[in-house]
Amino acid sequence: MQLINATEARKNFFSILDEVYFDGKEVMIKKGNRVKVKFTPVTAEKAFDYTKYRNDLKKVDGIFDEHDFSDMQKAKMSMDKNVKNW
Amino acid sequence: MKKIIIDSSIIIEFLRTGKGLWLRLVEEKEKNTIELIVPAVVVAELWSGKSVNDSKKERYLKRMLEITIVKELSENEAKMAGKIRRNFGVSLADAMVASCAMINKKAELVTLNVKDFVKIKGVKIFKTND
Repeated sequence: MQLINATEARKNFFSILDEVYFDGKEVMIKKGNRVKVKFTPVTAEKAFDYTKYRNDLKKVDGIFDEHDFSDMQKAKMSMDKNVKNW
Repeated sequence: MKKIIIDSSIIIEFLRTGKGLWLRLVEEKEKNTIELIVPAVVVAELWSGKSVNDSKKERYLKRMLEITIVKELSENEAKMAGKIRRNFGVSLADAMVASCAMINKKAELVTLNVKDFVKIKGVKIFKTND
């Protein structure tokens, strides 16, 4: 396999386009019967959508009130009492 | 990247008021300057609240936690939590949160109950510029 620099690759890119194969998993660039390049494309991780996240959280306003989770805090205190008795 | 350990008080504050430190943490997370870590015991605390019986409320809670990493309690952290509970007289749940902050070096704890945690030697409290 011959190594070429980026400028040469750009120049030759369109001339080899008809010899590019993709089977859904692997990309293969062939010249005649010889495989020139073979690689598995990496899918970029989808960026987390913070705008949508913030908008979704805005809807929280008015759904919870000061009584929400107060039972949880009481339970925490009683659990602690049991530990103290250990 | 700084690791921030989240106490339940921060999450509850946001859910009740729609305001608070949480939004500031989200901003920093978006800038990739911090990593938000929720100890598993905090998840247990939150889910123990009857409020979470309401599926709509549970959905918001789940959505909030989407940008966090839930950290399980390791054996070392459990032992450290016991030691903290024994020596500093905090609740067991708080001791588990504190041990998570202590064992993960460079981690800082963000909480509204500063007075409960400040007495635990070795726990760094996250301070905001506000």
